[in-house]
Order: sequence, then structure tokens, then C-alpha cells
Amino acid sequence: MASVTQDITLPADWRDFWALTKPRVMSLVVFTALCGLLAAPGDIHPVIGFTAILCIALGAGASGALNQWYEADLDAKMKRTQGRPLPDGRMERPAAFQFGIVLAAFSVGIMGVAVNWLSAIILAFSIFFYAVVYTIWLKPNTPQNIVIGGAAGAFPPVIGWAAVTGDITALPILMFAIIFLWTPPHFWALALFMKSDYGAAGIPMLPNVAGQKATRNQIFGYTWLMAAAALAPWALGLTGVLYGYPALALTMAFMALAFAVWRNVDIDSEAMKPEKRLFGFSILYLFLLFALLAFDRIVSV
Amino acid sequence: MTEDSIIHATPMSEKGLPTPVDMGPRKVGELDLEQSQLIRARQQSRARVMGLFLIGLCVLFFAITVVRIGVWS
Repeated sequence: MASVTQDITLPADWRDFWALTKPRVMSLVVFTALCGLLAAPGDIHPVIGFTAILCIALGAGASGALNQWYEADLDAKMKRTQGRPLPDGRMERPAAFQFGIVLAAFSVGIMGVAVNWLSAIILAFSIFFYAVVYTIWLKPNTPQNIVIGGAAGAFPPVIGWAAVTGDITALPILMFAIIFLWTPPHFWALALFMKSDYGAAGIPMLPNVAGQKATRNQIFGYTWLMAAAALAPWALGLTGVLYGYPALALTMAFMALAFAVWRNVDIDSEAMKPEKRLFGFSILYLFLLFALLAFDRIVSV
Repeated sequence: MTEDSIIHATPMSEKGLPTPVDMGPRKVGELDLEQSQLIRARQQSRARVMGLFLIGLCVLFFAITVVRIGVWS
């Protein structure tokens, strides 16, 4: 409860609970998990596959809710986040916490019982990693927050894979590595043109702590590592040319945009077009890369 | 009929037993009728979504059970 409409306090709307789950982030999580599930060898009953994806979505929602519960004060200081249910006063903080805990317990429990316990354990660890290790420990304390914290977002394809096979092999580890190494260029591009927003909230993002030049260097450096991880499934023979050639083209486009960011010297966030382009393309890149990987595996395995 | 009578009047039958009451607009606490209706509308929309979610879960659990015990295999 908290929103004031016509001088009264209304209970939080269901749409506010939905917003707590960060639906846009969830869509990427669900997609990469689905790709992990489709890329895995073996069969899974459609009902169990659907349940696995639903549990991963609920787990991602739980992470988002717990993150917003903990960061309500910080969110209120940033333009990008001050419209969220908690900083906007449309919901009370304990409600967000309880919602997050219930979702987390539900998702892990159903995953364990209906799918398998390996996926459930990885799901539980990813929720813990995002809500506790990243949100509470890393984010307010180190400019390397999103590098290590990126692991939380890299787990979904591994969970999707484990839901089918019950084990983890080289390809899911590479899928993990792709997202893990994609996260720094993606988030630091955002942090460059949102520098003042993060600064206002006192979050030690790399551009605020180490400066723009160091951030641009790191973006370019991580892009090389990401490129190696993105092409490794093809190089190691785990995927075919259906993935290989398009992945090569997409990765070269990503590198060209990262190079433009590296060369850019603008300090005014309005003028940071290369950074905005890289941020936008990075989302499309990950979607396409994982779609290609899943398609290649479905066709060739 | 005053607003107070909407909350407090409990119609009684000739035998002194309560009779069915019109469950239309009623006040919530100290709020006026319009505010109460806003709150009730919000509660109803939440209840509706929760209901749909629970029905979905029931269907899902049923389907999982059927698949797990191998009825169709």
C-alpha cells in the first residue's frame, strides 16, 4: 500500500507486482533459457520443458523483486528507476520482499520436484547470487560489480540445458561465458551515458570511479573476450556453419561498435551516440546469437 | 438513506434473524463511499489475477502429475 489516489491510500495493483519482476529483463532470461533447453541433446516432455522455463521466469522475477526491495532508496535517486513501484510509493517495502521470497521458493521447489534437482540448485544459486552477492554486496562496493554480477544473468541457458540432460557439458559452459563476457560491454555502455544517474545514487559504476577512458578501454577489451567465447562453439565443432557464419558477422558488427566507443572522446551524455548504439545493438546481438545457436543445434543434432 | 445507515443498518426479519443484505457499495473504515469503491475495485482486480494464477497452477500441477506418472507414455 502506498499510492495516493484522490487522497486515499490504495493497495498495490497487480501491475505493480508485475513491474517488480522486471519483465523486460525476464524476457531475455526466458529467451536464453529456452535456447539452452532447445540446444541440449535429448528429449524433454513439452509440459516439463514449459515448467522449467516457467520456473526460470519466476526465479528471475523473484531476483528482480528482491533487488527492487533492497534498492528502493537508490532507485528513488535515479531518473531511470524512480518510477518503479517502491520509490514511486505505490507499494510498501515488506510486500515486495514477501513477494520475492515466495516467488523464489515456489520456482525452486517446483523446478526440483517437476524437472530435476540439478536445475533447481542452479536456479536457487542464481537467485541468491543476484539478490545477495550482486545487489547487496558487489553493486554498492566495487566498480567491478557488473563483471562478477554478470554471472547471475548467465545461468539461465545452463539451467535450461540441465533441465533436459541433468548434467552440464562444454556447450552450456560456453553459453554461460558468452553472457558473462557480454555483460560488461553492455552495461558499461549504458553506464557511460547514464553516468550522472548512477553518480546521483552513489553507485560506484566504472565510469564514475575510473573515468570514461578506462571504461572505454575495458569495454573494448571485454568485447574481444566475448568475441572469442561467441565463436568458440563453432571453432570447437559444437555447432555448425548455420551458427558459425552469422555469429561471425554479428560479432564483427559488435566489435565495430565497440571500437567506435573506444575511439569516442565525448563526455556529454547527449553526444554519446556510439555508446547508445552499442547498448541497443548488444541486446539484439544476444537475442540473435542464442537464436542461431539453438536453431543450429536443432537442425544438426 | 444516509451513508451511516449503509454501514450500520442490518435488516432483521420479523423473527429477529438477520436477512440477506444488499452487498453493493459499502464503506471501508473511515473512508467515504467513493474511496471505498476505489479500494474494493483494486482488491477485486488483484483477487481476479490471483485466482487466474492459482487456476493456472492447478492445471500445471495436474499436467505435471500426469506426465510424471506416465499415463500417456
